[in-house]
Amino acid sequence: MNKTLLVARYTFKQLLKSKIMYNCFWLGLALMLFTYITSEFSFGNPRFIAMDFGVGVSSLASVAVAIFLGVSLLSDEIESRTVYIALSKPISRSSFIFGKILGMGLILFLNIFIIMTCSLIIYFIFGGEWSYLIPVFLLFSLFEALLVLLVVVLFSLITNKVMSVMNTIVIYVLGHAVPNSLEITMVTENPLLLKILKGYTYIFPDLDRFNMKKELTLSFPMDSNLIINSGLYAIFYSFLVLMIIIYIFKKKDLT
Amino acid sequence: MFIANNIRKEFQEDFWKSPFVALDDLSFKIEEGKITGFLGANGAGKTTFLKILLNFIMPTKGEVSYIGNITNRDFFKQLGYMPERPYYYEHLTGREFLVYVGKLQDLSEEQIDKAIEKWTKELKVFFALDRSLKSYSKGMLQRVGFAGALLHNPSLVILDEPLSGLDPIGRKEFKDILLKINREYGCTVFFSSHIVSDVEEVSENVVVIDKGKLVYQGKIDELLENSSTKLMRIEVEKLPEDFLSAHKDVIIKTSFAINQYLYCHKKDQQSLMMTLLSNNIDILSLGHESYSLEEVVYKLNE
Repeated sequence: MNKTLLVARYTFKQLLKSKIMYNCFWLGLALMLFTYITSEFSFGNPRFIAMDFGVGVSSLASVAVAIFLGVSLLSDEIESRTVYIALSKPISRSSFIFGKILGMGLILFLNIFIIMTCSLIIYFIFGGEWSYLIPVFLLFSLFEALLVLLVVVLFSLITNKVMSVMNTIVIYVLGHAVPNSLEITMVTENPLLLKILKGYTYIFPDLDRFNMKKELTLSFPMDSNLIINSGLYAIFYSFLVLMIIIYIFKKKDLT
Repeated sequence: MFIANNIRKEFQEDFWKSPFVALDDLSFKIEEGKITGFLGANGAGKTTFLKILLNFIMPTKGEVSYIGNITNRDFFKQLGYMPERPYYYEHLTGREFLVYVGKLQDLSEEQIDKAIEKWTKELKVFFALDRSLKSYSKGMLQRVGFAGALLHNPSLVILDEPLSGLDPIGRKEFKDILLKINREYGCTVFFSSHIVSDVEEVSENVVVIDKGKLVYQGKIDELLENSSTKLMRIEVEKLPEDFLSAHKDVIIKTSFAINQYLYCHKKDQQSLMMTLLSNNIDILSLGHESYSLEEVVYKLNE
């Protein structure tokens, strides 16, 4: 475990000093500006627009950062041969990959925190009030981004960078679209299609479970069971993908 | 130290194509406490073998076994490795990188500090330790990587093309350190290179591979001795035009590339020299025909 934390620490350190954090800072500023401009055009309810636009875009930005970080997590290590330095030391491949993901997960959290904070600043400027739903939203955005990070890392182990990004985007879009489509009349009236789509949600990640935007923007009360179930789902699914990643990485030829 | 047993590695480039064989039935033994050069042309399979040795890739067939009671985990504790043309985490400083490497080797902070100072001073990169690695030249990265491989006083050092990308002074310094760690610390060194003279200079033993197959394994001296002929070599200044045709029964072969050499059997040496002198041809040197390791390796690969 010490070696895992060591790899995580140095992964975090390396990324913290890289340009990714500057990019995140500029992204946050751009988000603030656009949220402000959009709110100005809201004609009467700038707070709602600031929250709706701000969290919506920041959630998308978090996923984009996760894909960007995850796709090069291992491929860059192998291309630059830095992976050989670590794996020629007394450290197991599972400790190494877990440490890399942990370090990157921390960077992802920091990125999401900065982006979300920037988007919420405008909301508070327009007189928005603090709600317990804000940290819940932040937590589930992190869950979603972390799961996307794991999915892109998994794809990067079995295919090239472009295909990894493409596949992850498809998983992300379907992860929101398929659970939503289960309530459409066209689907509910077609038992076979309903079965197929339900089957999809059992196998592939149901990312709509992490979407708390409606509750946050409209201040709907949130069912605590829903929070717990979604949290457990995120942990279980992430753990499952992590185990698959570790298994493949242990077997993979690092050429 | 370790034995490679019938290693075969195939790479499946395309589903429809037959696999490419990178290593074919490769077997050899690396002796403890010796410097062994691993020679082969580019693409001969040296790096592929090293990757198998270090568990980065799996062999299609065969295995590497360690001599003595060394387990897989012990092997990595005792190992110092530097890959070919390494590019380390560019945003870390040289010192941060070496601390990371030292901690991966389970060294204490104190041991790491001492080892960093010792090896980076030896490798003349101490002055740049607090600069980020992205500002390092290729040679400096090579030096910091080598220091990283030596931090924990390993008993086995494996280096993949350690001298490529270094200037002549750097090459000399690296070779001196290889000799030093071998002589002073009894460290076994196994390093790959495609430059024969580098291997000849520092190694006692050599493993030569070509197209994934073993060509030679053993002492360099023995290889050179076995490859030398019993011919005598006479260096002369200038030969009259008809001299060679007149003495073709005695002169086995000639070499006129830079200097002029005549080759003959030992029994004919005396008479040929007398003939040369009687024809007023100056003899510049006399010796046995010998090959450099480079020539021998070239012949082995033919």
